Amino acid sequence: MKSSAKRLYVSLGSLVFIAGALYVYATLIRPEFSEIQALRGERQAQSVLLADYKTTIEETNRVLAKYESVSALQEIFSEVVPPNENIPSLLNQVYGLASLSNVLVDSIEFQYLPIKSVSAGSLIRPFGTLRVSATCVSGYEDMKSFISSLETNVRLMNVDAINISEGATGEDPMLAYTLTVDAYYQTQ
Amino acid sequence: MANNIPTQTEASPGSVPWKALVFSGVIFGISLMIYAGIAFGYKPFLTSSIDNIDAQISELDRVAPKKESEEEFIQFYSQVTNIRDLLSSHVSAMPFFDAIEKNTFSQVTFSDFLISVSARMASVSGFAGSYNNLANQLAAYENTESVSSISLNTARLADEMVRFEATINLDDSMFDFQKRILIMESEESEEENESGEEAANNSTTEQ
Repeated sequence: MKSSAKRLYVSLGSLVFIAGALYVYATLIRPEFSEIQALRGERQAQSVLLADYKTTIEETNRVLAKYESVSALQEIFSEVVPPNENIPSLLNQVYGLASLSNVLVDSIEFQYLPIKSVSAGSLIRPFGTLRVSATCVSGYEDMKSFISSLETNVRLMNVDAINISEGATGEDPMLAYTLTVDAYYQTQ
Repeated sequence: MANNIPTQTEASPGSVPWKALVFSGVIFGISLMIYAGIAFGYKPFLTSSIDNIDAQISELDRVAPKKESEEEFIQFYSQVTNIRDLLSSHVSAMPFFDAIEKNTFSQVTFSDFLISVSARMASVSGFAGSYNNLANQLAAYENTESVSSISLNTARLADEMVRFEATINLDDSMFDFQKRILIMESEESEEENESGEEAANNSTTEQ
C-alpha cells in the first residue's frame, strides 16, 4: 500500500473514531446522563423523605407511648369536658344539683352555641358550648348554693347570667329566676 | 522494515498519523466505556438504591402508629388543651353576691336583678327609702372593690319610696374563680382554727 493511501485510511479511521465517539456521546451518553440526573434527584428526595418519615414515626411513637401511660386520665378529663354533648347526663347533673339545693326547676332549655373555629393547620379540635337556661324557684340561700354547686361541678360549667325577675317578701321569701349556664363538650 | 514503524519522535508532515488514530480510538473507547459504565453500572445502582429506600419506607409503614391511635391521641390532646383554656377563663358569680350582701343598706330593696357574667355587668331595679338613701347606696357600690362604674338610669318617687334602675359595671376580678377558691380556702382554714380553739377551750374548762 502506498504511503499516501495508508495515511488517508488512517486519517479516515481517526475521523470515524472521532465521529463514533461524538455519536456515542450525543445519542447514548447524553440521554443516559439526563436519566441519571433524574434518578439522582429521585434518590435524594426519597432519602430525605425516609429520614423525615423515620424521625416523625419515632417522635410519634414516643409521644404515643407517653400518652399510653396517661390515657387513664382521659376518663377524668371526659368527666370535665365529655367527648360529646351528653345531654342526658347534663340534665341529670343540673337537676340533681338543684334538688340537693332545694331548688325547684320549672323548665330547662338547651341551646347549641356556634363552635369557635381554630386556626388553620391546628390539630386541636375546638370545644362546643351547650347553653342551659333553667327557670327556677327557690330561696336566696338555696339559689346561691345551687349556683355555687354548678360552678364547682365536675363537668365544667360557667354561669353566664342570672336573671332574678320576681321576688317575694315574707319570712321565707321565694325567688323566681332564670339561670343561664354554659356547659362544654369536646367536638370530634 | 523497522524504519516503517512510526514512533512519536518520527511525526512528520509526510508520515502516517498513527498518533491521531490511536488518540481518536482511545476517545471512542472511553466514550463507549462511559456509556457502558452509566448504562450497566451507575444506573442499575441508582435504581436499586431507590428500590432499597422504597422498601425501607414500606417497612416503616408497618411500624407507623395506627390511625386509630393517632385519632385517640388528637382527641385527648384537644381535650387537655381545651380544659386548660376553659379553666383559665372559668368564672364564679358568687363573689358578686358576697359584695352585694356586704354593701347593701337595709333601706334599699331590689325587685329585679340581672347579672350578666359574660358582659361583666348587673342591671338592678328596686326601691330606696329616700333619694338620700339611694345616693348613699350608689356611693357604697361605687366604692366596692371590683366595681368599675355605676350608672343610675332612672329614679322616681312611687308610694313614698324611690323607685330606681341602675347598671353596675364590674371588673373581671369580680368573677375570678381562682380568687373565689382562695377565699373559700381561707374561710375553711379560719373555721378550722376556730373549731380548734373551741376544742382547746372546752378541754381547758373540763380540766
